[in-house]
Parts: sequence; C-alpha cells; structure tokens
Amino acid sequence: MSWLWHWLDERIPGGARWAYVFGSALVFLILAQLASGIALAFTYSASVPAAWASVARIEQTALGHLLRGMHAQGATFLLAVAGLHLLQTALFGAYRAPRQATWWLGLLLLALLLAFCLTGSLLPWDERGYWATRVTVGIAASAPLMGHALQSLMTGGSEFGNLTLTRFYAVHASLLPLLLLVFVIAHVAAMRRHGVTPPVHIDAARTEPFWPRQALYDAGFALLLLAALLVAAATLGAPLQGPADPGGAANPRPEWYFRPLFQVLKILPARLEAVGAFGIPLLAAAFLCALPFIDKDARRRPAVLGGLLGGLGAAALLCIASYHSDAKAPEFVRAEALAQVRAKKALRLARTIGVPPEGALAMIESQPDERGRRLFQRACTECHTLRGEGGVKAPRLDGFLSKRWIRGLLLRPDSNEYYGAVPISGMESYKDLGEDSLQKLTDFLHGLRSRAPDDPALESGLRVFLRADCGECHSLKKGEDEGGPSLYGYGSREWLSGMVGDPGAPGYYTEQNKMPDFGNRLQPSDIQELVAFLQTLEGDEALAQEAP
Amino acid sequence: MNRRKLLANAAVGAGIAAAGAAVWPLAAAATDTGAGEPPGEAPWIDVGAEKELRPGAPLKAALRASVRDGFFTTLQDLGAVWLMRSAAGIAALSATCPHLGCGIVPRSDGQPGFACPCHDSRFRADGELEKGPAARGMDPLPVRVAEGRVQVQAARFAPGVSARRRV
Repeated sequence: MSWLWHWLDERIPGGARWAYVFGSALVFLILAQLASGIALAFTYSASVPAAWASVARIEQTALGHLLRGMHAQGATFLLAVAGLHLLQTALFGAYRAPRQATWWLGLLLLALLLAFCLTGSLLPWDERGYWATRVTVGIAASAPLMGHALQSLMTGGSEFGNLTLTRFYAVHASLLPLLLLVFVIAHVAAMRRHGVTPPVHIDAARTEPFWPRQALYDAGFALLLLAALLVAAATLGAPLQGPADPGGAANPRPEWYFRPLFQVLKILPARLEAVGAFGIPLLAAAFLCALPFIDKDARRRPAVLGGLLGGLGAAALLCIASYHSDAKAPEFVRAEALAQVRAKKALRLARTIGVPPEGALAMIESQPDERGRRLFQRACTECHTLRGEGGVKAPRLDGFLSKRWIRGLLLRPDSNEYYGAVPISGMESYKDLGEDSLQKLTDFLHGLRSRAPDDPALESGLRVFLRADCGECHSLKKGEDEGGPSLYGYGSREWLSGMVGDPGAPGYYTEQNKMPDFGNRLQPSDIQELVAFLQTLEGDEALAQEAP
Repeated sequence: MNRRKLLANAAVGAGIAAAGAAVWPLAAAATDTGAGEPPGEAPWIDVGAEKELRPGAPLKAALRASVRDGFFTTLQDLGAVWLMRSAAGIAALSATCPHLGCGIVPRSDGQPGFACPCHDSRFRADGELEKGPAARGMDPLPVRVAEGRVQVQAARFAPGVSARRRV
C-alpha cells in the first residue's frame, strides 16, 4: 500500500483548488469511453452490409441505447472538459518552463481526441456519418502534395467501402486507444514531476498533500460529470440516421467542435480553401505549441491571453453563425425532417422484418413504397414537386392526402400548390364554410379511403358535403362522372391506381385531364408500387402547406 | 566492453530490429487497397431508357455496379449521376460535388440548375460552376445510348481542386 500513500501524499504547490479538477476528470471520462467502447464492440461489426444493422441492434436494447448515448455524449463531454483544462492551464501559465513537455503532450492528446471523433462518426455507416466523412476525406484529399496518398490511405481504395470501415475501426478502436494510453501516462508523469502551477498571486512554497482535499474535489467533480453524462445519454442518446445511401444526398453537418472550421469552409472562396482547411488549424496549433516560447515574461502575457481568448471567441462566433444560418434555411430544416423520417422507418423495418445479409439499404429498397419513391422521382417530378424537388405544373404532393393537405385544398384549390397551375378549374374556395364544417368535411374526405360514403362514422361530414353542394361536381358513386372526379374511395389504393393509370377516364378528370396516363407507360406492378409510395406521403403531413 | 554491456547492447539492438520489422506488416496493412479493381475498361452502367429523358427535366440515377469491395464482390452504388437532354444530346454529370464530395441536388428555389447542400456551391443547368466554394463545374461522365438505353461509366475525380483529375 505504500505506493498508494506515496501517490496520495503528493504535495500540491499553493494548496488544493477546484481549478485543478479537469485533468483527473479527463482521465475519468477516457476510462468511461473505454468501458462503453468495449461494450459496443461486443456487438458492432465493421463492414458495409453489417455496420448499420449491428448499430441498430445495439440501439434497440435499453442498455445498448444508453451505452451508445454515453459513448457519443461522452465524446462531447471529453472535448468540452479538455477545452476547459487547456484554458485553465493556459490562464495559469502552466506551459512555461519547466513544464513545456507537459503542455505539448496535452496538445497531442487533444489532437488524438479529435481523431477519435472523426474516425468514430463513420462507424455506424448512417447517412450523417457517411457524408460527413466524405467531406473529411475530401478535405484530406485536397491537401497539397500528399492529398491523394492521404485519401487512398483513409478509404483503402478509390471508393468508400468495406476497407474504409475496417480502417476507421482499426484506428478508432485499437491504434488510437493505444496511443492515448501511452501519452496519457507520459502526460501525467510529466505533470507529477513538476507539480501543478498555482495562480500568480499564490505562494507556491506553501504546499498541501493531494489527500484528502484535492482528491475529494476531483472525485466530486467526476461524480458530477458521471451524473450529467448519464442524464445526457438517457435523454439525448446517440444520433442514428438511416443507412448510408451513396446514390443519395444529405446535408451533413459536423459536430459542434468542428463547426467553426465548417463555417470557414463555407465562407471562403475556392482559391482560399487550403488556407481555411489547413492554414487556420495549423496556425492555431502552432500558436498553442509556441506559447512556452512566446510567453516568457510577464509583459507579453496580456498579448498571449488576448490571442488565446480572441481565437476562442472567433471560433465561438463562427460556431453560432453556422447553427444560425442552418436554422433559418428552410431547405436544411426540411432535409433534416426527412432524414428523421427515413431514420425512423429504417429502425422500424430493422425491428420488424429484420436486415438481410445484403445490408440495410437493400432492406429499405425491398419495400414496395421505396421502389415507388424511385419511380416517382423518375416519372412524376417533371410536374409535381415533392420534398423540395420537382416541377410546378401540377399540385405539390408534400403531405398528399393528409388532413392538412385536404384542408389546404378546400381552402385554396386555385393556389399554385394545388390546382392553380393546372388547366383544371371550377372548384371554389370553401373558406367561408366555417371552422366546424370545414373540419367535418376534411374528416369526411379523409375517411372515404377506408369507409363507404354512407358509413355512420362519416354521417356528419356527409351532411356538410351535401349542404355545401360538393355533389354537384363530385359524385360519391364509383366511376360516376359529374364533371369533377368521383370521390368514392378517395385516396384508397384502388382510387389512386385509377388516377395514376388512367386519369382521363370517367370518374376522374375526363376531357379536362392533362396528366399522362401512366397505365400505358408503366407496368401494373410499377403502378402498385407508385401508389404504395403515394399512400406513405400522408406521413409527411408536417411538410404539407400550412393552412392560413 | 564487458560481457554484461555487450549482452545489453545486443538485447537493445534485437529489440529495435524486431520493432522495425513490425513496422513492415503494419505499413503493408495500412497501404493495402484490397484486391483492387479488375483491370480493363470501367463497365457501362444502365441508368434508364432514353425516351424517359426530356429537355429541361434532369433525371437522377444511382450508378450501381458489381464491384470488388475489399473482401466482398457486391452490387454497390458508385455515387449517382444527373442525366439531361439538350440540343447537344444527352449529358451525364456526376452527382458528386467537385468541392468535397457531397451529393448534388436540384436547386430548391425553383430555378433550373443544381446546388450542393453541404457548402452551398451552385451550378447552372448545364453543370457549369455558378458560385463556389467548389473550384470547378460538375464532372461529366462518359455516356452512350445503346438500343434505347442510356449507359454511363462511373468515375471519381479529385475533390477541391480546379483541375479535373480522375482518381
């Protein structure tokens, strides 16, 4: 036990302080990451078909969800505490001789932590990780001179694939932990050799043993962090988007600690890109490394602190600007909402039908509505806009057939989101119907897909339908032509199949029709898939036009 | 030099040699890029029927081909392509942003042309660069029409630079 007492009796120059808790807290957080990381590795599988599926498997157990949360939120905690540790030691001037080696080892550890974050984000092989890493590798590939070698080292070939994952996993889960362990030991040993640096006004000659006061401060802070980490893990969890789709597109955004750099890349023109991507980080690193040489006497201290705090302030401003510009970009907000929809669907499918050996993307593509989505993109977006893509010659289909969409149709049938751009007219706005009747009519039309018009559940809506003279143009009998489409089975699979297959038929738009008859262009099975997709659009109700 | 010192030096030397020898397989593993692509011309990938393409209505298609991906030979998406028809014929533009490799989408403001959702580069309808940070326009891919079907060869280009260099 004597070695333990030797440790605990270490003298602290100037006495115990709360300001010294960050170093031991970092060791504690690193150990927590190691523990959660090992636990995750028991299930994780690093290959393109398996990675997302194995992470989804982890996510679907209560403990797995918490573990992923701890690992992902732990990374944020680590970088935040590392930042505080750096700031505290810099403010106290702890980088000065004879402690330069401790300082440099600390900076190296910070770089290792960032490397952990970069390599870890790819491992789930979800949309976010995939596209964010493409950008990371893209930045590396645009490096002067060694760009190509770097890229091929990182991806293990010209294309992102299995070898990219095994590489990132090997670095994340074996090489980096080993290096981290070695340099943490070196950093702590170097720190103990010269002790901590007390603030300038404190008499360093007066010392106090580590035990008990400093040890209790450290333990108290570590416990506080653990509690906060558990809360963050349980409430925020770890993000898992849908499986990566290399043929798709996404709006990847880096974590908060890379946001300043992201914003710089967005602002700078192409010819200054290398300056932003490499110059600024290298300059910051060089400044931090050079602190022991720059700040040798007290007169230079204000300038050094000004540089440090100014740099941090600029980074914080860039970070805020980046989040702000995203929040007010409607296309970004919509893309995020759609990514959420895809993520939920992928997790639901993984739980219900399971992931085949071909991978999670194949699982999604095996769904009729997904094949329908692809057909829609090819066949329908020339005229219909959906999710921000497509033409404006026909109604917008965000939230198609949802109550909100139907309500908007009743209020503004001639607006450009509905039939304003189509040479079909005659329907008037029902905005004067009154809120209660409008609601009942909306529910009635929404209910027709699964109930007969005279179903007792639809009775009150039917009364509004008749009172508002909707029946003058819209029959409630199958296929009957009253000038406008028959609403028998409106929105049902059968009604939609007829609409897509032959929109000029009696009971649909007859001679007013301008939509191509896809029954002549597509296979019957294609139409069924397209209809299956159209029926899922109701799930995007939030994207439908907000009724005024 | 006494015997103790000689043995010590020999032991240290052997240790360094062993560590040095360990670097070799490590470096070999890190630089191994798998079995690599089979030699020969890149395959022509079917991306749809020619009659589907109408002027002013670009179509997106995934470039799916059977490739050797490390330890599997598998169907894989090698990115995607935007196909368009104009007076000059059918063009195929890679949907991979020449800036840093994100997926390019149509502009969301109703204007013709394309945009990258990552760093907000803009491209004209013919793929020419309109606004950075991308350093060049969208990368054209080899395209041909055979028996009414449009076929494209997949390719990747070095990101971030103005010169179009295939990787």
